[in-house]
Amino acid sequence: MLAVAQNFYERAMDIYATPFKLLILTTVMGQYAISDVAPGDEMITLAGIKIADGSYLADGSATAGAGTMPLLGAGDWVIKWGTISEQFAGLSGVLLGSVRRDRLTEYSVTLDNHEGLFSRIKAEQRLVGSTLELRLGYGGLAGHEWITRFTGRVYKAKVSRTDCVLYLRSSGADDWVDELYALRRAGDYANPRDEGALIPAVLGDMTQGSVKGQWVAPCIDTTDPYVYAVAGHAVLSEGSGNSVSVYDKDGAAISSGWTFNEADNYEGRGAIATLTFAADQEAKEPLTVCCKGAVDAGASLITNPISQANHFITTLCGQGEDTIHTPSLQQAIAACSAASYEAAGIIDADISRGEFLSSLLSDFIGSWWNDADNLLRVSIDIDGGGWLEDQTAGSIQAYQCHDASDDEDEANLTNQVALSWARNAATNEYHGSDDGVDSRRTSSIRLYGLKPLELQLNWVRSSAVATAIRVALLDAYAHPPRVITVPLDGLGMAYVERGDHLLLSSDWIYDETGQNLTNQVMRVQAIALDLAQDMTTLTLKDTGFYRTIAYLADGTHTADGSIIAGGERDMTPR
Amino acid sequence: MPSRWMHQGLQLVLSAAMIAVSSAVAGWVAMVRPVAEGVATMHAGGEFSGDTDLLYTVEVDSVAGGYGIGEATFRWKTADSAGWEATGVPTSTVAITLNNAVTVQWSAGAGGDQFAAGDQWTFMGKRRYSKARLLDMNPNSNWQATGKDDETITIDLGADQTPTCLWLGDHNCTPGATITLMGNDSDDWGAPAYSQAVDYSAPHCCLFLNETYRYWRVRIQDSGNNANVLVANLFLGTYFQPVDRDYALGWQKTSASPTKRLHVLGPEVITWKLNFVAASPADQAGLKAMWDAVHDWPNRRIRPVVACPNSSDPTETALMLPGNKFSRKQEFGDKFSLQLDLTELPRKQT
Repeated sequence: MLAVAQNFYERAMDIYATPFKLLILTTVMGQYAISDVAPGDEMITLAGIKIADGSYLADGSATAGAGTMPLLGAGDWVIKWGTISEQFAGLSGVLLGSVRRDRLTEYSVTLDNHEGLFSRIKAEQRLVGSTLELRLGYGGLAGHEWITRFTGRVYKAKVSRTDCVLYLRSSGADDWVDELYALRRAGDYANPRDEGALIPAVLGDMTQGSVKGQWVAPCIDTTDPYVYAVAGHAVLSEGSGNSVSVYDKDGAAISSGWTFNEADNYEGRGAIATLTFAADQEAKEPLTVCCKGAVDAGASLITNPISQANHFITTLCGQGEDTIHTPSLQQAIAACSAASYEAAGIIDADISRGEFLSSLLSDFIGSWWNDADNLLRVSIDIDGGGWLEDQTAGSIQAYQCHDASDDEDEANLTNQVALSWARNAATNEYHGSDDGVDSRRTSSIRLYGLKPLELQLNWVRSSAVATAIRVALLDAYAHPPRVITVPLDGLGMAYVERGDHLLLSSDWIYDETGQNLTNQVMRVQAIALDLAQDMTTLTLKDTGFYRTIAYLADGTHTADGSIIAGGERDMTPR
Repeated sequence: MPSRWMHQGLQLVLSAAMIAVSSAVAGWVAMVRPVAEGVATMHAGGEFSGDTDLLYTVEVDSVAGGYGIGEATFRWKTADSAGWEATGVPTSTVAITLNNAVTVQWSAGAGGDQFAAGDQWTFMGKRRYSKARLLDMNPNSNWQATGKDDETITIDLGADQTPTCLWLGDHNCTPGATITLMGNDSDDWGAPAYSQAVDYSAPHCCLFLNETYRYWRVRIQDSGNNANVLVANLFLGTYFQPVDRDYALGWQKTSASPTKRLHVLGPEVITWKLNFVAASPADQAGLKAMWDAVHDWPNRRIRPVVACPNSSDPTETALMLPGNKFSRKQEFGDKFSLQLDLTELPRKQT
């Protein structure tokens, strides 16, 4: 959820208050404040833009332009606000976006170009590449109490004589997730066999699942002594438990004649893991290897998939830790630990940072996205029972559910999960596989027919982890999960983000015991802000959990089976 | 008999601080939002007892003693604090009470320091059924007591005042309930100077009066109710009543069926299109004052009005939202015809 100030929250909860919406378009030359009403000086100031109106004197107390861009114009130029839709990708497809990649939020807005303003901006300052912020506030709020609900970059602009339509995608300030993570090349070193050969990045315990060579170690020095790169970064030392095995082109083990250095600052180009041979191995190439991978600051092997994602971003890519939303990271790490999820795999091709995150997290039914603060958020999508009351972003009350829909869709179910795991990068084969027949849910098949799902888990090496993922998927999706879509008047819940939890109560939706659904914990799968109608539509997935009430052991309730100690549903809608 | 109108500008109870209730369902704590570099997780809990939803801020103010739980210290405040309520409080894995029955504690994370200086958490104490809900004029937010046999709403107007109308909107009382309005010069209710039974009607109760006191109390006794006492809105104030001529009576009742199918009965909604024919300057001013009082143009905020179409029958009242048109047309001299559209705000919650 977004941070909200007390005053914003109070206004947002007031059903009779209408929000102000302000767009800040930032081009290479400055900013424009745009709304559907003429943004007066007060509104512009409230939104955080300083205008040259004499409020600031040239007395040396402030630096002109510092921390802000000059305001080039302001006007009531919005013709059509459009709708901001945020969702986990694949929402309408298989499994509610789990095992799917994140999709960027898109938004379009139509602006008035009768006076040719945007034609001139397009020509002189360019529209594509400009950023647009949507800020929401209410009358009487100070600038810092407004919220920034969307930040996007213009990727397409259609300018006609009368209109200017801007198409935006959510983005961070520098789009760092789209940057390419380029592997080291053998050509980075003085005497490589093949300059273009890639040196992979190795994460986790690759010795699980198979004892064969898992990836090719390119030769980076063809002169005596002969050096092969195992990984493009430091890995776990043999003293700390690493076990390195080397194989020739025929798969025969080369058990001697080499030394392993887990952190070799070879040719002064930074630490990599190397094998050094006294004899030329060209006739045996390609050499394949297998070992354990990258280590954390304490020199321990990183096995938690979320920790690996963090290591990739902060260490391998060199991105600052301040780009990651630490609490969500910690929460996801804990969720993976609780589920005994361990990841292992290699990066054997250049890949964008975002694609890597999608690849890794989707194996563990996780998601990532850039939040409104431009921080990377990660989430394990299947709830494991760790929900706590204080993690709830708010509540949906019964009267707000009058126009809701309570849906289930067989597209969101599976009762047989076939898995492949322990991918060998050298051969592109999977050492482990299971067709899922023995573990399929027959009760679900009887009801819905066979709904198989086949997944290739590139970041899973052990059958135990693969089994845990299958169980999680079947537990969540053997029956189509309840999805409730709630249209709400106003933008009062604009502070809610996908992935948040909400309590929902309804007087017409029932639980499996026939009781009104009360204080049910729902996970926000999608949120749509209709800025034209001031409507918010939430798509919520039932987690299966509800808020409980703890009774005092004061004798009021006896152990007669009528209530569940500590587990009784709180029937007072919150 | 003429109509009577109760609106925001005539409400004498201006804030929740003027109200005391005998009981209210406790609140909860939600919306913990961390902005932290440390790996510790903060948990907030407790049954929030504040009167209005309240934002809390907890911040690590020192790691001089270490970066662990119990070593780092924190400070905290609420949105209505003048400054930090406390500083240098040791972090703990055991619940620490802040105020309003709200507690915080931490659980350890893995992979780094538990805290960094400046780590901050915000969260909201939420109370859906507080006394403050009585004043929001929202038919779907309520004050709810924890009992039904004898519950009270006590109001201190700060000085002697003369309310002429009590309105209890969208209550859940049963026809067998005894509802009493009392007035007194002190906050002592053993033998109040004024005590008047309020005739039962549903979903609203309304009483017109003309008494002057500083302290007022609404007492509700409803032992036969299956649920505890619940009231959505309270109005204690004066009313506007056109003195010359009343409007041309006309209303339309519709079933607000969301499906638009005739056999599906939604909540009944009344829409009024009122024509005040040849209204005098005084009545024009009164209606204009009502229009202005419920429209906060700079802040884009509107408030409903309570309408009683026939003052001789206070059992028929409705919470109405003015439409977007208030027209004025000259008839002759200083007489103008006014037209006002209103739509009832029904309670959606069962």
